[in-house]
Parts: sequence; structure tokens; C-alpha cells
Amino acid sequence: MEAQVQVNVWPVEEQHPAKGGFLSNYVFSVDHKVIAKQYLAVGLLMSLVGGAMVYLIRVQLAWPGRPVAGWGFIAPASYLALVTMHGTIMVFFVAMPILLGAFGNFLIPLMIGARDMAFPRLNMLSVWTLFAASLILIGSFFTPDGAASAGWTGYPPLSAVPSYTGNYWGINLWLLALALEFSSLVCTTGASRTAPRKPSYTIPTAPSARRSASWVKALWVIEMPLNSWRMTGTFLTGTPMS
Amino acid sequence: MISRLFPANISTYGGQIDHVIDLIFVVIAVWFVLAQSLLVYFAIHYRRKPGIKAAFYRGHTWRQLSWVLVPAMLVLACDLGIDAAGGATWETVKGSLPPAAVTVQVTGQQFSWQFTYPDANGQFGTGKDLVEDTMHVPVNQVIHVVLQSADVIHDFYVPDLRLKQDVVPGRKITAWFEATKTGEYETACSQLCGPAHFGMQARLVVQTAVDYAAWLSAERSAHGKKTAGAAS
Repeated sequence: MEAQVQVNVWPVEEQHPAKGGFLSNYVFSVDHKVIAKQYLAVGLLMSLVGGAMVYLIRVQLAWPGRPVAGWGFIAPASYLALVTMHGTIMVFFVAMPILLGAFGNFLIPLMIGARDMAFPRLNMLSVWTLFAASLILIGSFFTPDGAASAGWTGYPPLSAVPSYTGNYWGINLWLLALALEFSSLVCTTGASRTAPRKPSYTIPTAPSARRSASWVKALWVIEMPLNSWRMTGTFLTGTPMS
Repeated sequence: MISRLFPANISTYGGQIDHVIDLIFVVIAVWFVLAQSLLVYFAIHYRRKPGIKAAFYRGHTWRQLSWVLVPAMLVLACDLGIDAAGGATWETVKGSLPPAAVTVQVTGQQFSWQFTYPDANGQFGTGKDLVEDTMHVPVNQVIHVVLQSADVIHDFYVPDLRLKQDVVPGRKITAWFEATKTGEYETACSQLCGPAHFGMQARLVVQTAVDYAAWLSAERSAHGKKTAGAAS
């Protein structure tokens, strides 16, 4: 049974916000397509950072004990910090922002025929939150005891007790960056979950990709605020929250 | 198959584990080749061509879903097949605990393994325990290892035995093995446990029953002298 397609296009003047200056068009834009490209840009930049780390890890493994060009001798603790940060970056700062932030923001409104996301300013805020989180994560390398080195899975008690890893600020900044990153993606997925639809759009005629995206987002909105809250709490109080 | 790349197996159940690993390898290899060939085929076959223009197509829900559901069912079938084939192995290795000839308490801590042997009566905690940094076991006998951690999560790993078991603080986890070949092997920690995780290694010495008994009594008498010397 073919779904009936009703052509019902929004008037042009309603499709996009009015053109502004450079800042409002390309930096602090509320347009879902620009925000999607900003997510893509942050994700790709972070993939270069994560990729540089995997180069260090692999060269170190290939020629153990020898200095690696671009870093020097990799001490065991730095090696673990590199492994941890590589995992964290590739999962939380490359894969998730590109899949949810870039593709989600770009495609979902187009697929369901919506003008934009439901909360464009929240959407803009979330991409800049991700940017701040990326800076904090990279900045954690420059703390006195180095970046987090408890693995990207962060199993306690290794990650919870500073004396086990030797990082205090590294692991705290890692937590803060993850809490901000999760908040960012919760905001952007929350915005797309409630994007205003074209009148002819009904759930049974939705493309399957859009429907699976809906499920992902529903799960995110249930799960991630809790994660984020715990991480922020752990960061602020210095003890794991249960 | 892939298990040829592993160090030679020296435990009674290692062969079964290698079979399961080989089975998983074959299943994944077939899917990998299939999925990647389809990807390349579609990318070439449906590339941009002159005269063909992309059109808006809402799609047919069931035809779309069949591309998701049919592969998902096939993957599920493979998964259940692996479970069925590997269930007996799991039951042998983790599900059952044959009676022990020797019990050794293994304690993981940052960054070493400690092997505690019971006193001459087979009792732990009497003050006459034997604490070693090398693990000695007799060949062809069932060994229980009681795993404990002093700090973080470790993982007791003996590649030659195909034995790998997490060591969780606050818990006593008992694993077992039966070595079939004498020799010296390596035990490692396979759970990231801190800056010197890489160095958390120890030696496993598999000996004949006679050699093991001789080693044990020699260690006990040396230990007895040491504690007697310390007491006087």
C-alpha cells in the first residue's frame, strides 16, 4: 500500500529566518542546516585530534621505547591518557555529534517537511556547548598531572579515586567535558524530537530512517539527562553520585 | 583458522574455546565480505549517470523495512547459532566447577599478582599461608583460583590456558582450569588498572605432581624458618 503523498510546502518566507550579518548567519546561527554544518565541523576537527592520538599510540606500539615524532618519548601514564582521550574523542566528540548533531539536524526537518527545529536558539546553544566541551577536553592535557587515564569507559574505582590513576584535574575536566557534551546532544535531539511538522505528515507515512531516529532520540532524552546530572554532580562534589 | 595464531593451548577446555572463536570468525568473515561487496556494488551500480535524475520517493514502508528486518533476523539467527554451539563450552568453563585438587587464592593489586597457598592441612587464614609471586600448579589436576582484588578491577588472564576472568573488588570469584602440559607460562592483567597496568605480569609454572609437591614442601620449610626467625 503506497502512502498518499500530499504536496504541501511552506511559503518561502516561512522556510528560513531572514538573512542577517555574518555573525548571525554563520556563527550564532539558528538555522538547522548551519547548525548541522557546525556540528560536522566540530566533529571533523575533533577526529583530526583523535586521529593524531591514534598515530602516537600505533607508532609507540610498533617501536616501543623509542621516541615518537611529534610527541617524544611516551611514558606509560601518557600512553594511557592518549588511549583514554582517543576513545572519548572518537565516541563522544566525533561519532555522536556527527550522527546526531550533523545528520540529525540537517536531515530530520527536511525528511518530515518541517521549517526548522522546534527550539532554534536551544539548538544553537547546544552546538556552542559542544564546542566549549571540546576545548575543555583538549585543555585537560595541560593540567599538572595530565589528561584522564582511566580508559574511556571510566570504570570505578579506578576512575573515582585520584591516587589510583594519578590524575585529579585531568579526570575532573574529562567528566565536565562529557557532562557538557551530553547536555549539548540532549538539547539538540530534544529540539528535533519536537520539530513542527508539515500538516500532511503523519507517523505511518514517516520514512523508516526518521522513525528509527525518533526512537534514538526518545531513548536519549530518557537516559542522558540522568547521566549528565550524575557527571556534573560528581564533578562538583568530588564524590561519585549514585 | 584464526586460532592458529594463538599460543598453543595447554588446558583441557582451551580446544573448545578455540572452536567457538573460529566459528565466530567464520560467521563474521562471511558477513563482512557480503556487506562490503553489496556496499561497493550499490555504490557503483547506482552512481550518478547522465539521463537519470534523483526523484522524491516516499518509499514503501514494508519494502524499506525488509532491508532492515531480514538482515537483522539473519544476524539474530547467526547469533543464536553461535550461542547454541558455544553453550556447552560456557557451561564447562564458567558454569561448572569440578572438585579442586589444589586451591590457590589469587589477589590482584596495583600492579602485581599475589598467589596464596593454604597451609599443610589445606586451610587458608591460619597464619601459615604461603604467599608467592609465582604461581606453581601440578599438571593434569583441577586447580581452583579464588580471585580477589585489593584496589581496582583487574582481570586474571593466562593466554595459554584460554582463561580470562575479571577480578572485582569486594567479591571473591572462583575460576578453574586444568593444565595439560608442563612448562612456564605468562599471566597478565587484561583490564586497564592504572599507569603500570602493562607491567602487571607473573609467571605460571606447570609442574609434574612430584615436582610440585617438592616445590611446595621446600617453600613451606623456607617460609617456616623465615617466620620462626622473625618471631625469635
